[in-house]
Amino acid sequence: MNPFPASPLSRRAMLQRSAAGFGHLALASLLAQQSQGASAPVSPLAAKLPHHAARAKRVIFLFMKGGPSAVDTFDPKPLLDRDHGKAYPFAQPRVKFAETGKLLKSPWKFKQYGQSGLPVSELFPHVAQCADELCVIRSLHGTNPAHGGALLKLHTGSDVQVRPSMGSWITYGLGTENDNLPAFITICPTLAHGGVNNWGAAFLPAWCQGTPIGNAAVPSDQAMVKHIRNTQLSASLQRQQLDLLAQMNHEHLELTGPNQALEGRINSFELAFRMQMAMPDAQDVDNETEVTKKLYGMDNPVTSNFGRQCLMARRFIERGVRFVQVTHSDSEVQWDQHGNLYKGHSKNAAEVDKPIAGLLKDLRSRGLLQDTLVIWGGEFGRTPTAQGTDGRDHNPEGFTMWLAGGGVKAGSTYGATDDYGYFAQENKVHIHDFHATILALMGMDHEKLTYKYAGRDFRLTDVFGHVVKEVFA
Amino acid sequence: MPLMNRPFHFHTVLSSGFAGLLLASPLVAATPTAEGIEFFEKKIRPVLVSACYDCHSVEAGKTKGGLAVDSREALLIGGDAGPSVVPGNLEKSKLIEAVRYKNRDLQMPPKNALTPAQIQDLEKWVAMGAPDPREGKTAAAAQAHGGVNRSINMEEGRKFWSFTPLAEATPPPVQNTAWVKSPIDAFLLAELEKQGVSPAPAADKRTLIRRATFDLTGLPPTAQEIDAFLADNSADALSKVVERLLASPQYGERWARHWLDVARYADSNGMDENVAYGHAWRYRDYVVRAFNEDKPYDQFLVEQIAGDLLPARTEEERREGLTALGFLALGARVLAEPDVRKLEMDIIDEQLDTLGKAFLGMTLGCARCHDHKFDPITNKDYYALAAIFRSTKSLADEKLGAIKFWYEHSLATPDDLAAKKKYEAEVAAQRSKVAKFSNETRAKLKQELQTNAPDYLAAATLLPEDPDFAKVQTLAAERKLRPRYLLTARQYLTRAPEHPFYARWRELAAAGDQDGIRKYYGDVFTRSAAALTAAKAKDPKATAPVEPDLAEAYAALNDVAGLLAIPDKDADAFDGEMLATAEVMKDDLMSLEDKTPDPPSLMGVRDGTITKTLPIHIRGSYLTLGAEVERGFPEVMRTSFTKPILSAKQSGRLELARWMAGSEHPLTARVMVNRLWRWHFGRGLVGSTDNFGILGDKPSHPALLDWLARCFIENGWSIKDMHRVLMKSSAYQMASTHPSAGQPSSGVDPAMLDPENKLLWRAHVQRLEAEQIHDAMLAASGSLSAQVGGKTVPLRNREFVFNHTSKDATQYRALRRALYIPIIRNHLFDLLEQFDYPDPTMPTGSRNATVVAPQALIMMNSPFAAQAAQRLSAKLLSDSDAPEARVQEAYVALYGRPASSHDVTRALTFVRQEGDSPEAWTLLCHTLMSANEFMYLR
Repeated sequence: MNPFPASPLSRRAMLQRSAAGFGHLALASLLAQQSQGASAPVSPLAAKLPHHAARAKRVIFLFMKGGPSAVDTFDPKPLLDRDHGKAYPFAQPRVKFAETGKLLKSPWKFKQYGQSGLPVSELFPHVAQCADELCVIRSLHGTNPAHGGALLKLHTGSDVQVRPSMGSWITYGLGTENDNLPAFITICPTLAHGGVNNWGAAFLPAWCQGTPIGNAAVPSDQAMVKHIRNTQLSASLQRQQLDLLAQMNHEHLELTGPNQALEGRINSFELAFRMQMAMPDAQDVDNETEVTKKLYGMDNPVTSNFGRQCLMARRFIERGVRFVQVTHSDSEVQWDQHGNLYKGHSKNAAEVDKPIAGLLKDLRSRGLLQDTLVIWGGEFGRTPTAQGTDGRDHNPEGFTMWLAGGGVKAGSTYGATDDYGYFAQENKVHIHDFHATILALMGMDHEKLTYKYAGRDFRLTDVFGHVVKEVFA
Repeated sequence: MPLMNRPFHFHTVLSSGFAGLLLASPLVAATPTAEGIEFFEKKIRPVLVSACYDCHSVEAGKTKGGLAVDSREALLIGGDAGPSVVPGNLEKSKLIEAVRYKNRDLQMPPKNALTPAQIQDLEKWVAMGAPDPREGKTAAAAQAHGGVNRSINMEEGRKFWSFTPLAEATPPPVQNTAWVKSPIDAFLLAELEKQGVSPAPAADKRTLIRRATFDLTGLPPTAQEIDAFLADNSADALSKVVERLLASPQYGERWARHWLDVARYADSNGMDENVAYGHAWRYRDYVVRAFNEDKPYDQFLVEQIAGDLLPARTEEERREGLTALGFLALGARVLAEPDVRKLEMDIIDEQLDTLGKAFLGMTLGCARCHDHKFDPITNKDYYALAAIFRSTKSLADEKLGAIKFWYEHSLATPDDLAAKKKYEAEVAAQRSKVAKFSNETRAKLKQELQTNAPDYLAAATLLPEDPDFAKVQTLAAERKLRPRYLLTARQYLTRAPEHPFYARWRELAAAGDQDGIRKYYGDVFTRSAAALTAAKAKDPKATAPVEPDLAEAYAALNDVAGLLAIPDKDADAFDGEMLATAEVMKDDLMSLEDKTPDPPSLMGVRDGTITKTLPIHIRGSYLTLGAEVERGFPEVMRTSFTKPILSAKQSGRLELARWMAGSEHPLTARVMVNRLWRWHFGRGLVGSTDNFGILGDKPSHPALLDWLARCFIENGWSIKDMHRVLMKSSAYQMASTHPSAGQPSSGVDPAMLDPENKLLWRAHVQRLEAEQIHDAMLAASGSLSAQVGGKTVPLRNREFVFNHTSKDATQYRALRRALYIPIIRNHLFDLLEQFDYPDPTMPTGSRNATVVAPQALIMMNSPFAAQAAQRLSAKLLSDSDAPEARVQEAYVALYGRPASSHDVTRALTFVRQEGDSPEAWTLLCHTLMSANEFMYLR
């Protein structure tokens, strides 16, 4: 006899106490046992219906840590070439990270690609072949000129307080489609500049937390979820151990009487056991064909690390993971070329260009691109003015990110920076607008995706954000 | 078009720069003319509707920044930034400033500037007196949106329960007087009896001593302690246990941890940049001492806010006060914020928010940008407090690049500083040695690659455009080339298919003529080198050959991202012996750095430039300042009719602290006794321990709360006395099961009536907290170290925990209590992180107890769990040869009870099934430690 047949827990309370973790099984089964027929059991992580028709079901966010330069990649500025060495003719930002000098032209040439004629610089010859898939937003702007603040702003919408990450919000809103894997995964994230806060759930329920696989200092072929493997016990031995544990826990439960946490904990071991199998399987790219591996540049030491990350991302979203972030953050040289722009951006682009193109092509050929939203960009861009002779400083005032797949207008650009690429000028898209737009593409209204905490409703976009409908297909 | 036909005089005035003349223009209040209205309708209304109404109209339900623009009145009142339109005055009209897009902090509409014609129209319209026919109830509506000037009524506000003076509560009469061991029981029982519920029976003695021991020390009771308690049949047996526990040093370690949650303690910054708070541990140890010595809470409070301003009789006392100030300095801050004024205000906000939640249970931070939306705390109250902290210095003068450091009181002696200098010089010397080696090796490598460039070019012809690395390695070995650079060369040639200098290579490669390539490029490189020498002979400043074709060859050979690009990272650039040497030298550098001593220092604050007033920062920004506010305390909590008078020579922190610690303050004692209750019982009388505001929970037993608060103050704010009071009650000693729960037939089922157990009809089943789990797993095998205090964070002060490299510089010494595990924000020790250690950026009085799968993974697979099991198993095996005795010992160590015969049989069957080996015993211990019986207190 169940003593809590009508336990007056709201859905919210249930979400908060959820005994689920990565999957919802613990709670789902618990509720199934308790369900008295009237209402079907609701699992917090079960896939949920969006607010409106979704253009995309899942996200792959290719994060270029350090801040790639827009005028050297996807936002060509002829006037920058012309006026190279002259002073920037407009006012510079009130608060700057460092002083910069005269205008610095791009060391790379741009060409137009595809039917759309989208201009891409020499840095991205492979991605250029996918130009017709891209929707390039050239008028992003944020508020924070330092890496840490800007990373937090981009990932969580707040550079002052600890807030849930975009992936956590999406997980909260939409749930997952695979019970044995986390709904939000971040592959080789940087531990610097906000670190875990960039994939943290903050006050959202614990199951919305991003699960890191390795970190930026770990080669992707060694990256693992912590404690996912037992190095000493075989699976069958561990199974025997868990059977004994389950027996003991059930007996204990009889002694204490029904208790949601105690029951949830019994199930959490079963879930963990299944996850131990599911996770390595999803990460195991070895049984991919040679053709596929080559497509991602996995056969080549320059591209293999990031290529493996991208290929893992595809395998995760194929298995129903909702949000996968892939970080490019070399442990020494990121996209942060205060100096050595030519060399640094060349190296970085060479590492990611082929894998990204491979990912786009692979998603397309598997029919996944149409409902997978791919996002590319960094925490800010770089100044068109020179720092030293061959460097650019941080620039949150106007920069480029691109979207692909997931219902975006392919082969298009949106917004513009000024003549030199310093400030966003036309159709400006603030980070909050960007977040609102991502949520809209996922079928969610950023003003309705709220969570009550400390007495008020919180949103990813705080009190800001406009959906940029113009980028919708 | 009458407007065109009859040009207004303002146009001339404006264009001649006499706009100021219109300031006192009678147009301001004049009834708009027909022409004015026509102009508005034609030119202005359409712009407002299409460009502004989305975010600033009552119709759309949005008045962002407190501003609506859909009525004349609303425009004149304006938003948080001030009036949008001052008729006739362009410079004072925020609307004009915004649309002109000149002030980057005030640009509207946000996405795109209006067209120049539209801006001109708006200017013209304001200059002509802003004729506007729109009537509206907008202003009132805007207020309702919380935008404009919500007026807070302090009289009403003071009536809210938590702001009322502490009531003189007397314990109510009850029927079951036998249950009442303490006034606490009467308060609880009266409520239960009203509902017809009886409290659960007393817990058995084993359950009780396990509960009390974990509760006060965070550790399990030992077998001897259990036996002694079981053998003691006196009425005050539990009191004896409580006194023993309160006197043990482990008590302070356990209860300091509770306060450290509230103080959002951490050993690193962990916001935008994660650098070590190398001296934070001194504050941690101060808190441990404070609990062990039973420092009165009012004094504890004052020291943490104003320890530097207290009179000190001895150097020891002075240091104690300064150490306590760590409370104000430990927060997570955005250290690389380039806007220093913003940073300073953000730090003040963090301090106020923490102080408010920690001591008053108030979310003061909510009043930074506007009046508190719910609680009677005004924007003015916030800036009155902020002025106190504006007069306080929280940042050090030193910085490192973009990173600003927190203030510290240095305790360094000249010897300390000299020792540090000596090490720093050695580090610098080693660093330049490392750099020298890297540079020299790179130079040699470059020389070698350039000499062999023709061979690389020749070998590249044998590789496909995008070769497999294995193939590259084989070929490189044959040709005695470096594989990494052969690949780089081949890929470069693929990436630069039109480079003119390699046109010859493409021809010869197509013809398979390797010798031709060697000859051609060998020749051109040799000539280019000779040409450079010649050029330099003529002009010592020459950097390239004069001849264009040879200059091209030279440029191609030296292109840093070209054919022979050398990566920046030594690990990528070097191979073999040179890489090994570089790594060894770097290791030496790191260990030298690690050995550099940190002279002692105390994180804290001191008084800075005293500011008697501070302007209100509209929307929290120092760029839009409002009226000046004097230093002071939140009006709603003021306990005296006169305004506080603050010293002109000090920041006012001391007055603030003493006011908070006063016995008249309605919140301080209530908030703290409620936390003490929460930490004992598992749930606060006020569930929201850190929010006693309107959005917080209401007290389940308000009279009891006030009785406890008075009791606390009357006992001289002694926390140890409160433990005695609470633990003496029948309420504390109840069982966690209740005979009527789940038995609806037997009358009132308390589980149905009060499923969350708010009335406390039984004890809450509580999961061990992360530190208790950690410590108990080690204590079970007797391997937990008893060492108290000291520095444990393995980083020097201000050292990066994670810089851009993400390399993990932290390590944890596992055999000490979890209290000493370094709290690295953003990188918590796994076990703490997964078992609900609170967010160390936020004061937390009540931890969660979630159940998630990663906790199971830690128990199943972490080295920590495996080692703890192994230690226990080793102890069992050495303590006894009898299998049954081993099982008994494990059960007592982990669960505080003997194993039943059923338990023994099952355990021994399992061990035999796994081969009866030491590993089998370890596996059994591992399983016992993972069980719910171990993880939960009944």
